[in-house]
Amino acid sequence: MAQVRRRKSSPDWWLLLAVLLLIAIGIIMVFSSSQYFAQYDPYDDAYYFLKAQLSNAAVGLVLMAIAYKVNVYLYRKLSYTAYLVELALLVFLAAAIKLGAAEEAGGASRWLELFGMNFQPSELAKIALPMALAKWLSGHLTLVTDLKRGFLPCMALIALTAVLIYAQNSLSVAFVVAAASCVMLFCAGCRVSHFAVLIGIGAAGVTGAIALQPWRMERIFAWLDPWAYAQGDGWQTTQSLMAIGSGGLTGVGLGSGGSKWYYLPERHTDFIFSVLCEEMGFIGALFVLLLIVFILWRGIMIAVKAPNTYTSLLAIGMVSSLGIQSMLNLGVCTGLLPVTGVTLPFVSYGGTSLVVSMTMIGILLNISRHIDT
Amino acid sequence: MAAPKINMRRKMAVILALILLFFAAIVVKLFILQFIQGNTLQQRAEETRTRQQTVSAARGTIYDVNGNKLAISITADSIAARPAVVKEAEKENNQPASETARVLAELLGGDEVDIYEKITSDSSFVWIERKVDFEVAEMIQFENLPGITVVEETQRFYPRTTLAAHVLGFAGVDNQGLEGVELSLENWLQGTDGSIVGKYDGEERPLPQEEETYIPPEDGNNVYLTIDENIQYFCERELLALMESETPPKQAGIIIMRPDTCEILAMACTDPFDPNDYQAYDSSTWRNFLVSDAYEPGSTFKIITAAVALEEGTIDESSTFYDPGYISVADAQIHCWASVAHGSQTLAEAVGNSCNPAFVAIEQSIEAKESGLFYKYIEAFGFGQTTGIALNGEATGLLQSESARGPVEMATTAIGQGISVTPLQMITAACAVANGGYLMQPQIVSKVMDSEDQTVIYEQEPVVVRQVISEDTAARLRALLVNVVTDGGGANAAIEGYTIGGKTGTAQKPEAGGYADGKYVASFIGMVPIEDPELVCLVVVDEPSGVYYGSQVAAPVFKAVVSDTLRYLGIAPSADADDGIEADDTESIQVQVPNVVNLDLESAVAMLESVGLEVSLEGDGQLVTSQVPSSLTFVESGSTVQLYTGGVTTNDAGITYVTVPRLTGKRFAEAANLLSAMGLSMSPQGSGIAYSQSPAAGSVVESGAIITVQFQEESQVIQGVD
Repeated sequence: MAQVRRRKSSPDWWLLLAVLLLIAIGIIMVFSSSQYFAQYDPYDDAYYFLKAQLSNAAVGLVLMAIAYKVNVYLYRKLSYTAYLVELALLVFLAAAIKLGAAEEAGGASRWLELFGMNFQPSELAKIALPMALAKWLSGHLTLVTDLKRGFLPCMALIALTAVLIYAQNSLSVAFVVAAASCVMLFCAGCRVSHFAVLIGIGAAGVTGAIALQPWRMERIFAWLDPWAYAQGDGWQTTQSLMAIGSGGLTGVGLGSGGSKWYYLPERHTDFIFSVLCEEMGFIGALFVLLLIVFILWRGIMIAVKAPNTYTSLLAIGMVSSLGIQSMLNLGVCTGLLPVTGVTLPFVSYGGTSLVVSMTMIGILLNISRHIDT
Repeated sequence: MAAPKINMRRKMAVILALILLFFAAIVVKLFILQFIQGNTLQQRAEETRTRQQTVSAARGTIYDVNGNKLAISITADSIAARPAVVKEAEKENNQPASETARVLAELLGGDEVDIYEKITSDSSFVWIERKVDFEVAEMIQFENLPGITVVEETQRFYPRTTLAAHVLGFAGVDNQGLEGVELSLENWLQGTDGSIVGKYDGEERPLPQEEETYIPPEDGNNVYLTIDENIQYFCERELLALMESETPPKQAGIIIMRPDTCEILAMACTDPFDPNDYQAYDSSTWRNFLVSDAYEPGSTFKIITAAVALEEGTIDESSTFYDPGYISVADAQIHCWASVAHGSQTLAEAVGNSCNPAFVAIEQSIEAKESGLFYKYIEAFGFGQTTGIALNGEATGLLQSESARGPVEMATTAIGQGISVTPLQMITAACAVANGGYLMQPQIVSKVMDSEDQTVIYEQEPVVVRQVISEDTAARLRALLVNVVTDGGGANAAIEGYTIGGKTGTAQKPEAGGYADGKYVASFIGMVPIEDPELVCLVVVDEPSGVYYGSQVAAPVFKAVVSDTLRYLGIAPSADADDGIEADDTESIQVQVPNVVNLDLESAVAMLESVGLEVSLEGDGQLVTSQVPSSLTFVESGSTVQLYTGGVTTNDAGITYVTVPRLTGKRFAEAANLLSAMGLSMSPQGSGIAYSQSPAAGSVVESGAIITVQFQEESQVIQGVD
């Protein structure tokens, strides 16, 4: 333990710079994409989302600073506690949804009112579960190749968390958390053959789910040929493609895009990248993509050079979570992946999403201070 | 215990490679979307965000040959809603949609729930009610309801109501021509619609920062027909009298043409209908049977038979014919219509007697010269083919098929049975005899002007199809036709002072398996003055009741119509005319129709009655807006003058409405007096003669309204007085 506290170097300023730049672009895009519809009911204020995102970013900065300042040793120590608290929150919410289903509209109970802010506990799992997994794995590195004593217990933990998140109508968050955890297991040394079996079972499950519910097949068809379903399941994708296509090389200009006039849904959250492509063009999009890749690369380097296994795995958890969510979002916007509701980290509007993402960066920056060079 | 450090460099390399691969795929996809498919996608996006609203073009005016308006486009107000604005107003300005619906329902007299559903629907634009009353639209305008607009649309109006309805046809609610010249001249009249193009958001709100593009409509061109409304009126007056007589026929029709150009001056048929309200009539009423139906012409066709024989020289004026009462052809006997045999006759007598055996002999003389020659001429006269008149639905008639042209069939064709022709074909062929042998295309359009009546776009020239017979033959034939009126069956067509050539016809109507008992088509075709005919007129009476001979049924109609037409056109009678009228015949009194337009109804009727004319009214106003026949026309004493009224009416609420009179062509003082007499005020601009006014003539305004009138010095006035 003493090793961890032994020496402190300077944090990864480049990572911080890239993240702040991306958040700034995000705030601009949130304003650009929301100002038209925000002037109408129920917001009645063109600046509504700009103000909200600015305050989200402020909260995010505070939490990022805290996450950066906290002693890395404390993370390890608090790992299980943090996970249990998160688990309790998820169970509480899941139960509240079951019991209060009559009162609450679908999806609404994902939110918890906390210090006057709406908070999504499921987002917290992106930090809590990697903490717990990193702690257990770093203490039981010899067991990870063991199916019964290593792999399956970890998978059970991941599945439990994912199911609880899914119970709050947050399938995509459940997927991101589970996938990021799997990357951690892979890096910790779990057998590839175990994953192969898992993937096989997963594929069978997906096939079964599609066979049971024919409307899922429609979703697949709408993904393969969105134009044929432009008025139904393909609406979001086709509107997104039209927005992107309108951009060309340099875009139609900030604020001048037309997709946000109630045509492209979720224009300030899930499809904000499409608005960015429309208004800033190929060049703007490329710049944002490079920033994201840069952030992921810096994160990976921090994981590789982290002072110990716990911090290394924790960093991998953070990077995987951010990376998988980014790729999922970009894939949906460009039509490469079927539509799932997931935000683009740092860019999309959303309080919890931004605050949690920034906290994760705070943790990465914290770890980067302890890199032994 | 020191945590063992694991080496993850290779795994991380794999993960980094996967990340880069995925981002590369995103970049490729972006490249495809933004560069390769960019234009298409952008165009699609533009299309989904753009809404287009049509601004309809005004249909061109249809005038008669003298520039009298027969069909005009007037503006009509329609009520429409922009539901997005209605809904927005509900939130912003506390004007609930239900209240808007209530007010509209009250003013329009519609169902409140229906209106509510319309104004809160999901579309960007919705009609609530089209073409509403002027006052209603004004009241809705006054209410200033959010999201509710009064849109000016154009509507077809036929000021002469039933006059020439079968020629004019009518246009539908979307101003599309449906019948008559409204349909056949659609390309001239229609114009090109304009549009308002604007961008809207996904919830159908117009985008405030986007400008709407207005593409103005191009109004349709104005068409001048060859029809003369006065002559048309003479015809319709006589048809009405015939239909209202004690022995009305099934239907009847009249065509009057100028043989030199084949221009149609009048084309009238029963039953009358009002194109302003065409849906109130059975669709069979709209049919112009003079063009669309064929009949067996009977003896009028003998003109053609005689023309061929004279042209080919198989007979001449010195030929004689013997009629024992019938003639044997092959194994059939063809009887003459007369109960007594005509015996020996000259050609002139045979024509006058309309002797069937004689005409069969004439036909046989033609066929003896050259087999098939008779039919060759029939086709050359235009039978069996459409004439090419600018009207839709023209029939071809029916000739005997080539294999069926046996001696009996040829013989009956010679007397106008076993062949069917349209009335239009018959008179067109007769015009060839009248004009010196030239078969021409009948014309209904004289010219087309642009929508401003400034430039002639198209002028109809006479179209000669072919010369069928020589001028000499035509002249000789016309001389023979005089006998019909002076000494033969056409005596009832005689008009004092004019030499008329003509031919009666009375044909049995064919039905399945032979001829219908007691069903006839009576007709008379005549040309005047015979030396160099200026008019050709055909009267066809289908299934007359009571007396049925063309000489008794059709010839008197010919006389009534043609005598008025000759006087109206100023075709002078000649003192030495061979009119066939005994000197002691009572002379009818001619009167000149006074001008009563813009007089109040009472004085107009008094003035007409003082000169011995009858009055027939159309409209419910107190002001005479127009009259037919127009002033200065000579008509027989006791004739009826049709008055169209509009003007001052008072409704139940005590509000007085006034129909704005036509002021164009009036001098300043005249216009001012007229307006003040009607309780309207004038806001004059310029001096001289009125050339433009607003609101337009025919608009209904409240008493006391101000009419803006623009005056111009006389020499500047371009538009004619009408």
